[in-house]
Amino acid sequence: MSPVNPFFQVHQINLGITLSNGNVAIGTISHGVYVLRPDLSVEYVIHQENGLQNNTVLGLHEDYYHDLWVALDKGVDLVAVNNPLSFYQDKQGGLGTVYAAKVFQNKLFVGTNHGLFFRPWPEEPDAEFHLVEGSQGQVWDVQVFNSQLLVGHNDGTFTVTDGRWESISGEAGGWSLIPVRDDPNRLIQATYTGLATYRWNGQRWEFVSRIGNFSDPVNQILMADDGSLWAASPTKGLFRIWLNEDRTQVVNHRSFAFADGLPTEYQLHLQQRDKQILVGADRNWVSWSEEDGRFRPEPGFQYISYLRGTAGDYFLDYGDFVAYYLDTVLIQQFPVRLIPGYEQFVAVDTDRYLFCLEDGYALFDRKMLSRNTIPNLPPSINYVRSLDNPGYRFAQVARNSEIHSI
Amino acid sequence: MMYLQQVGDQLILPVIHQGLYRLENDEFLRCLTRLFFADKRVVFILDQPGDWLIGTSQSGFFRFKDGVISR
Repeated sequence: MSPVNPFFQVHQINLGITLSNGNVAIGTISHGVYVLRPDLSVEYVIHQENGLQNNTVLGLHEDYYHDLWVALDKGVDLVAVNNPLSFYQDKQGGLGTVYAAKVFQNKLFVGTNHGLFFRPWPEEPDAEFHLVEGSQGQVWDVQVFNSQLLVGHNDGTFTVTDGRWESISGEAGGWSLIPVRDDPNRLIQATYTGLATYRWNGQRWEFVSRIGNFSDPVNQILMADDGSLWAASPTKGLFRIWLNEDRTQVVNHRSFAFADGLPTEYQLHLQQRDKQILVGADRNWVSWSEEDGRFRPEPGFQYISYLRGTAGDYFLDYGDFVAYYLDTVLIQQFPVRLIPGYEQFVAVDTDRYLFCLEDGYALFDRKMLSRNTIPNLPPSINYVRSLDNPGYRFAQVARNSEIHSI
Repeated sequence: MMYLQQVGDQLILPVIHQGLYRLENDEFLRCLTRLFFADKRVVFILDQPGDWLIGTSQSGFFRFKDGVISR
């Protein structure tokens, strides 16, 4: 029998209904709604702490769109079960602002301004986040390369082994790690003091060195097809960098300014779309032209940030909302506000993306999109009436659409 | 007496202190010979594939199939 039975002996069941997908929704007296799978395991729990106005459920109704209406001791709530977007809200503030996330070894790790936290994955209802002890402080980056978790932190770069927080590098401010295009055993990192490089020793990642001859703080890097690096500063500056063969020294670099076609020199977004290097600020984007040796305006791009998905899909961040595209077709828009300047999302499995938010995160489930499609229904005509004589109905329409004279 | 409930193609009546009754040919018949639900307040009965899911106010829920109750 379901492990939640002991909870119901405490919280008291008030009513239950079967949902169209075979799940069971149970309303309780003191702990909101439990939605159970057919085997009575818990799909999710909705209560006052995560969104309901009140914990006492007096009525439940599933509507045409498979969303759940909840009549409460105080008010009526609509649980948009069928919404592809769900939120984890950090109402207590213990988690902090989420800057990065990754699923690793059946755990969801989130990096925040308070440290690195984890909870079970796949999600378990009411499972709490736990802090990785020692990780207190600002986390910027959480990634997995070669099955090792790498965490960019204010104090350096770390890994988590059997729950232990272990240092890999003391280079302050591990902002962003990228793989080297033609060398899977090499990573390059953007830090508070320039660039650093890491090497896979066959068992784990190890810090090699800072990359010499460059010490500007950069928080975004990407590697172009020709192997050169593009790097953007969190404050002012954009650079193109050429490295030596073993990627330990900068052999040449170029700084870009307004005169090179940049929309501004401050707080630039650096992105790559296909082979194009794009730089943006305040919804003004320019693309690098190797032919011209300068940036060209891209007036068609009006978004703040472009986030590439894993299956020909992508998101455009417009500040107040995020638009989801599949094969260049707009599919849906969502009321999600990403962190300005740190717009981040990660693919947590084949169908779901996680958006980092100031008060938690949002999960977007692509599978839910088809279920969310509202079918076109034929119009329902009840009667035919003369406009000249509104009180006179001269025909009645039956359910089978046959018209009968009155 | 509680509210009459339709469960699948049957009408079921939970009766306080007595348990569950089934309406059949204008007659209420006990669903169970023993008074299992007599001390429990049944708040819902859902017709599930293969059995019934019976929710009670303070004792959680039960599976009911062919006159047999399981937790």
